[in-house]
Amino acid sequence: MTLDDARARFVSRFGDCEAQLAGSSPAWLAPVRRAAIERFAELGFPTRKNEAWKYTSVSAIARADLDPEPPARDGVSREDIHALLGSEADGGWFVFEDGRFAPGLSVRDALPAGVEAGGLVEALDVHPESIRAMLDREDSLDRPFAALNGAFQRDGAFVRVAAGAAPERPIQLLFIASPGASGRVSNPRNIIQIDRNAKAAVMLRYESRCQDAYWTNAMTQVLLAQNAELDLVVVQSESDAAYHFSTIDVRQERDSRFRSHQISLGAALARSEIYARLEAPGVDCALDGLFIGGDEQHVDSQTTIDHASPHGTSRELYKGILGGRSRGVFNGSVLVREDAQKTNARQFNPNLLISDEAQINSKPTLEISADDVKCTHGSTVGRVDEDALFYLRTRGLDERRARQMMTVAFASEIAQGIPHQSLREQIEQLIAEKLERSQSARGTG
Amino acid sequence: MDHATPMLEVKGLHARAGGTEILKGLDLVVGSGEVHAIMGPNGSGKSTLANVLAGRPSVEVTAGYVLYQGRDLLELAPEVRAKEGLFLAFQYPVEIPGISNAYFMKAALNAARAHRGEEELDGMDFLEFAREKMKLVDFDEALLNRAINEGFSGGEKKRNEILQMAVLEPRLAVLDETDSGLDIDALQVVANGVNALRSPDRSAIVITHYQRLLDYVVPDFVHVLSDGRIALSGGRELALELEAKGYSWLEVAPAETTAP
Repeated sequence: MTLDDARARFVSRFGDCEAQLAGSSPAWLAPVRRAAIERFAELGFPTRKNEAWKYTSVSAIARADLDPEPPARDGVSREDIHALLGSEADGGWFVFEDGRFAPGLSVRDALPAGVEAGGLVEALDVHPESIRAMLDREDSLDRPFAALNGAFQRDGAFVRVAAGAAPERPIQLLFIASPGASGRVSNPRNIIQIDRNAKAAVMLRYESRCQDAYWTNAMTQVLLAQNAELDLVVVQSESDAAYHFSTIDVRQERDSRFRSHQISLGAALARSEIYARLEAPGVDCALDGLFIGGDEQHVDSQTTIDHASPHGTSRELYKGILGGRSRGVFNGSVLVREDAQKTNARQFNPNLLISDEAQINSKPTLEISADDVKCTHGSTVGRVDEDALFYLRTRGLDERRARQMMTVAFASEIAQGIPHQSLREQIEQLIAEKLERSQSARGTG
Repeated sequence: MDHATPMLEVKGLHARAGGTEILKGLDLVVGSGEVHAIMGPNGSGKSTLANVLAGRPSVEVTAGYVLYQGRDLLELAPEVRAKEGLFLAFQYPVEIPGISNAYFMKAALNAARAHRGEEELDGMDFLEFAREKMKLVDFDEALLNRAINEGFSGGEKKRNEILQMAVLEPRLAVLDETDSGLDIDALQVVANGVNALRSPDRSAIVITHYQRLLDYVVPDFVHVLSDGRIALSGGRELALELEAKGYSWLEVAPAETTAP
C-alpha cells in the first residue's frame, strides 16, 4: 500500500466509522471531526520530501495496513496493571485502554481538592465549553497526524488543577494497548489544564499488552494559566512491533513554568513532537528528553520552542542513546520572534552511540528575529569514553558492566530531573532495563 | 603463592604508545612484601610501565613478558588483573559524571569479593567498611556520594585513589606519580595508605619524580628509569643522591644494574 492508498483508506474508513465515533458525543464535535479529516485528506501521509520528515519514513505504517476503526479494548486485567506497575499500582492510577478511559481498571483514590482527573468524554459533561475551545482549535490541524487524531479521537485523559491548588502527589495516567489493539489505531486525546497559581506533576505512561503491530497516535494539549507550574513526564514504553506518534501542544500564559521529561524507550517506530508556545511575557519552559534505541528501532524527537513574547526563558536538553542498528533523529528548533526581546534560550542534544551500526541525525536550529537575546544551541555525537572505561575496568568491573554503568550515567542527568522520588525510581528502573537489553543486543549483533 | 615466586617479574619488556617505542627492554623483579620506588626524568617511560601493568589497551607490548605471581599478566583483561589483586593509582584520575563514588567502589569491591568466592557486601556493610578506610586516608564522606572525581580538587582526586586502594586491599599496588602536586598533609595521607598495606604478602611499586614521598614510604629498592630501561638500581640512598644531583648525569653514566 502506498502512502496515497493509505490516505484514501483512512479517509474512506472515516466515513464508515463516523456514526460510531459520534456515539453520544455532543453535536458540535461532528463538524470538528469532519474538518480534521478534510485537513488530513489534504495533507496526507508525509513523504521524506517534507523537511520535517526528511529522516523518518512512515511507509511502514502504510504497509502495515492498519485499520483506524477504534480498537476492541479487551484482555487487559487488573493483574496486568499490577504486573506493569508493581507496588506503584497502589498509588492511584488512571488507566486508559486503547486510548479510552477504563474506570474499572483505575485506582481512583480520593483526589485532593481542586484536582479533576479521568476520561475526556466524562469531563465533557462538566466542562463542555472549555473542552470545546481546546478541541476546536484550527492550529492543531497543521500536522497530518494531529489532524488524524482530531478526526478519530473518541476519548483520552482530562486533567484539571484548579487555581491555587498544588496536589502533593503526581497524577499518573497509564495508557495501555490491549491485545485487541492488534492491527488497529488508537487516537487518545488528552487535555491538561493548570489554572492560575496552581502547581502539579502529571505522568503519561504508554504501555502495551499487545505483541502485534498497532499504532498509538496520541495528541495532548496543555494549557498553563498565569503563574501556573507543570512537570509533564511522558514515558513511551510500547511493545516492539508498535508505532507510536505523540504530539504535545503547550500554551503558556504569563509567568507560567513548564517542564517536560520525555522518555522514549519502546516501539518499532516512534516519533514525538512537542510544540511549546511562549505567548506571554516572563514564561519559563524546559524540555528534557531521553530517547533510547536498540535493534532496528527508529526513534524521532521533534521539538519546537516558539518565543513569541519578551523575557522568556527556555532550556532544552535531549539525550540520545542508540545501539543495535537503531536510528535516532533529533530536530529541535527554537524560534525567537521580533517581539521576544530579553529571551534566554539554551538547547543541547548530546548523543551516545553504543554500537557501530547505530545512527543519529541531529539538527538543532535557531531562528532569531529579535536583537537583544541570549541563545545557544548545539549537538554532539560520541561513544563511551575509553579513558573512563579503562578506569572502571582497572577497578575490577568487567567491560560489559563498565559500559552499562557509563551508559546509565549518560542517561542519569535526565532521570535526575524527574520530580517525585516514586516517579524517578520507576523510570530509572525502566531505563536500566531498556539499556540492559540494548547492551545484550550489542554483544550478539 | 609459593614464597620463592616473586610478586612481579618483568623481562625484556618493549612497549609502544602513540606509535613511539617507549619501553626498550625493561627488567624488574619485585619480591613479595617489597616496596620498590621507580624514579626517572619525564619521558623515561614511568607511566607507560604503569599502564602496561594495568592493561591499558592503547599501549602495545611488542616484546618481553610480565609474570604476576607466576602467571602471564599480559594475557589477562584489566578487570581480571584488578580482581587478582593488582591496583593502579592513576596519575590523572578520570572524572565520570553520573556514577556515584560510593556505588562505584561498592561494585568494585564486590566484583573482587565475588572473584574470591566471598559473599558480597550490602550497602550498610559496605558503608561501615568504607568509613574505616576513609578515616585512614582522611577522606571527606561527602565526596563518597558525589560522582566519581567530578569537580574534585587535585588533592581530593589523589585521596580518592588512595581510598580505593585501601578499600580494595591489593596484593600489588602501583602508584603512578600519586605524590605530584600534593602538599605535605596529602603526601602523608598517601604514605599512610601505602604503609597500612605493607605486609609480607603485599608489594608496591611507587613511581615518583621526587624523592620527597620516599621520606614517608621508605622503599626497599630504588630504580632509575632512563630511556625505557632501568638504568640504575640501589637502595634508599639512591633516591637521595638523585635528589642532590638531578637526572642529567644519568645520560652519560653506563647502565650499572644491581639486581635486587
